[in-house]
Amino acid sequence: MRTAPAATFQEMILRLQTFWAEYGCLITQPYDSEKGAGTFSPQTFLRALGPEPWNVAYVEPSRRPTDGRYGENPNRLYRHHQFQVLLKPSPKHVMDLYLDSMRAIGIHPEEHDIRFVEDNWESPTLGAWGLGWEVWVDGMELTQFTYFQQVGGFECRPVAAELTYGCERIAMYLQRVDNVYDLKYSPTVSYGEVFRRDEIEHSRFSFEELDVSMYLKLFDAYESESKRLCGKKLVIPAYDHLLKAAHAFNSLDARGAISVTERQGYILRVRDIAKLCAERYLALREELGHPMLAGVSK
Amino acid sequence: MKNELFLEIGAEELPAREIGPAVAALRDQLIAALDAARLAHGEARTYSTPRRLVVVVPDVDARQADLREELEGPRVEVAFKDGVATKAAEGFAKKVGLPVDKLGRKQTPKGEVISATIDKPGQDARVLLPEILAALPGKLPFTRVMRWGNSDVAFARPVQWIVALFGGEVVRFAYGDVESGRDSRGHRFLAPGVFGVEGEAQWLKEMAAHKIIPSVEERRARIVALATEAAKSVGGTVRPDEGLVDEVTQLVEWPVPLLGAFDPAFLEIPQEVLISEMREHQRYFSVLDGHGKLMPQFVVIANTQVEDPAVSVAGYRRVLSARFQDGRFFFTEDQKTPLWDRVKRLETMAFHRALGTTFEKVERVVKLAFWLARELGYPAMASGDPFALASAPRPAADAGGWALARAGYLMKADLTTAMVFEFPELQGVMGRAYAERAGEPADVAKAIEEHYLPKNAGDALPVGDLGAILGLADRLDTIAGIFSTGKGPTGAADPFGLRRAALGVLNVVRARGWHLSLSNAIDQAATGIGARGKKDAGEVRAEIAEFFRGRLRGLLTTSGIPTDVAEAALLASADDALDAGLRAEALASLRSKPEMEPLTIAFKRVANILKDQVPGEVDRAKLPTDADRALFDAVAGVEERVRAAIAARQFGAAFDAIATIRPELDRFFEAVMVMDVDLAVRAQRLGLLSRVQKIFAPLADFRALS
Repeated sequence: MRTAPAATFQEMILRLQTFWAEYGCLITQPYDSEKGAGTFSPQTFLRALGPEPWNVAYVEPSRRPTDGRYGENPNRLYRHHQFQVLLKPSPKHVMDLYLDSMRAIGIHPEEHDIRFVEDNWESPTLGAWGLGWEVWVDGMELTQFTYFQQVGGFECRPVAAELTYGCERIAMYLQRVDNVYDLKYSPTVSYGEVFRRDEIEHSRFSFEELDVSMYLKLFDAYESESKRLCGKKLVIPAYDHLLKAAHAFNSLDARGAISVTERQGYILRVRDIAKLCAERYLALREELGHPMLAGVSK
Repeated sequence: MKNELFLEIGAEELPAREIGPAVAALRDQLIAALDAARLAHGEARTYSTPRRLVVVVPDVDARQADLREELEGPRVEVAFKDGVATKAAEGFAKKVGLPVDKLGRKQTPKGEVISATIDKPGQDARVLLPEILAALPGKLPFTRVMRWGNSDVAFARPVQWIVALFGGEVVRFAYGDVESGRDSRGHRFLAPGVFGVEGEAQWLKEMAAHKIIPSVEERRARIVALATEAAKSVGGTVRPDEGLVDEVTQLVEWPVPLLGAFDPAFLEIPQEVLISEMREHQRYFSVLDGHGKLMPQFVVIANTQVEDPAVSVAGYRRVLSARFQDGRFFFTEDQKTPLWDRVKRLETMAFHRALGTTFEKVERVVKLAFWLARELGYPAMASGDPFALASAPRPAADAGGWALARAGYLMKADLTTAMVFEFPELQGVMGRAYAERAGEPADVAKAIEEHYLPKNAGDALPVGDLGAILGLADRLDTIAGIFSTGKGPTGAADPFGLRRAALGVLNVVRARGWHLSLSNAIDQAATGIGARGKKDAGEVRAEIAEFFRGRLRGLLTTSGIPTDVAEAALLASADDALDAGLRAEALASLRSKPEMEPLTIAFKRVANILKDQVPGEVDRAKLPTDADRALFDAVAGVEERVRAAIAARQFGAAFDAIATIRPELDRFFEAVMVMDVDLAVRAQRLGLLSRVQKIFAPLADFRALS
């Protein structure tokens, strides 16, 4: 018997969580700081570093201020949701696992044209890159699949596989709706009822109201605080401030406050602290004796 | 004994454009390794799909050929003293692993030496193959490679399985965490099973049973046929697109065509935009009607046979609608800023670190275009400030100057649009479309698009003069600029596409029948670049002239002119590409005539004799023999005709006229000695030959002919 399509947004997420929990992933909760993608969660960025194994799945609300459309565009959102899975080391049958997870939410290869299309992923702000695919289902990109090669400027050994499911897109596909706000979040509440007002307000804020001079100062402050905390071996608080700096940059960018020539400079500044955090995290885990390696046979 | 060698590397979905080069390299490296290992073999065959690279080598020797090696040691008088082996002999014996009494002697150019004959019996191929095959996967020329899991080896995507068989038996080796065996796999969705491989013939049957077309040519042909048929079902044809066919061929193992349709309302957007959306983002084939216009249908080549095609087609259509909505959004938004108002925005767009902004480039190009226009015989191009001219409304009587300036300033303005940012390949096309919609005159709009033509070899050429002139100016400026920074093309590296740019210049001037002095044009372009570059200006100009000459030689030889003929014509002069081409063609057609060869020999002789001479004027009265005077008269009789023919660029006629002096020239060489002991006679004869040379020198340097 084939699983029927998940009928609501929340059911789809529940099924993904159940699938990956049964596989053996930790199910963690969204990280409580604004970020542009699930990759920025320390559950991915930091845990992808070093020799310790790590299998985790979580939902990550992801803010992209430039994509705000005042709640008017059927596909673009200031904040969307990613379902993020990190498998380290990447298992040999990871693609089959992925296809099984799609079956679990009701997308079956017998019914759809599923394609793995080359995608070279790179995050200049995180000093990270990897190779993999966009997964297309009937022409629609529903997942990004990446084998991390480098994170924070450091080689990944072992290599982790990252799966990023675009929750709204997949749900729209499953529910066959053309407008994100028409999605059923639950059987009785629509996505629009939950988030449309947020989108309108966030768009107005980031395009019209954001206080540029304050955010420029915030960026500088977060940046220097992150560096200072790295010096104190407070890796997680330092990383928290990196996330805040990155979000401040994204917000300023959406407000049009950063010129093309300045842009690269800001990206490099974030990358520098990302490298610093990565370096400190690696040193810290080594100091702790890589506790997660216990019980792993080489 | 001969055996079939079968190698299949199975992987997770490989990047489409990497597959062809990778499987070719796999074959070449395997063959090179077999040759190096002295294993004779038949001709290799390859197969490839997104999930497998396969090489089959038939008739491989089961045993390596025996090898006899002759090693040379020290000279005999060093190796033996009084019949006793010295340390030198013992050292050599030790090195080759033979006792001293088994050493031989051999005569060599350096004298008699001691020698050793070593017989290496061939090894069993089975012993050699594991190492040979294991070395291959890591050496493929992927542009980017990755590691996976705990493995330390790299490949374009994770390797999943390796089948390696020699005469049907497994050749055992490992690549990272993958051990070779005989298990292959079927289609990921249609026949996901594992099956054992015995050899190529049986594997091909299994491939068919497991829904895979492993031959690239067959899969490609099938895709073309299926797409054509699908388009035909709605009365259209597939828009020709070799690049897309190639890519799609390496995206699927089992092609299945699906026909979809989109809302015809989207056809209000320029069709190039729709085609780019379908092609670049979705890999869909566009469908054209009988007039080459886009139809509201598209063809998708799926990788699987889905249960209900309507579900997939609805998905394709939904994605495409979202894309087209984006396209319409860009198209509408872009037009809110008229194209002319975008010109100044180019001031914030870098063209090249050393060469300034795109606006500065445009200014240089416009100036150069005005110079070119004058040079090419378009009168009355305006003087004064071209930007002021272009900013003003079109004068009632515009002799072309306004349109040239206007189109020149507008030609890069579309680089600031969202659409071109999204689809860089639409530069020029969008400029034209936006210019038309902003009310720019038709000739200006057309020139914006056409200045990019030809985009590559075999592409259409500009139809209008404005686009052709602006295109020349744009390319000359880029070439002069980049050369001045010292970054001209080297080897395979040509990051700024200067070779293509130079070919564009040559093709445009030749096709339009423009006689342009390249050296003058280069001077002018280099003057525009001024002191921005790092390199010495004179050196740069010489480099560029040589660069153009190389491209022109290539252009002539690929059009079928023999290399030596092209060289002979270019040595006379390569400055006017059109002339040089015509001379080369005339010379090439002359060459087939029987009188050509002796004439060539005679002209070569003339040129060689005159090589280091500074001949004076010849005076008929001072010529001593009939043969001298006959040649003089023949030359005098033909000079004017040749000059006139050259002036009229009737190079065939010029060559024919020159050929008429051959009897007199032959007789001259038979009858007289040019380097006569009488220095006065010698001077007269050198003067006479110099007259001969002056006739043919503007046409070709005959010394280059073989």
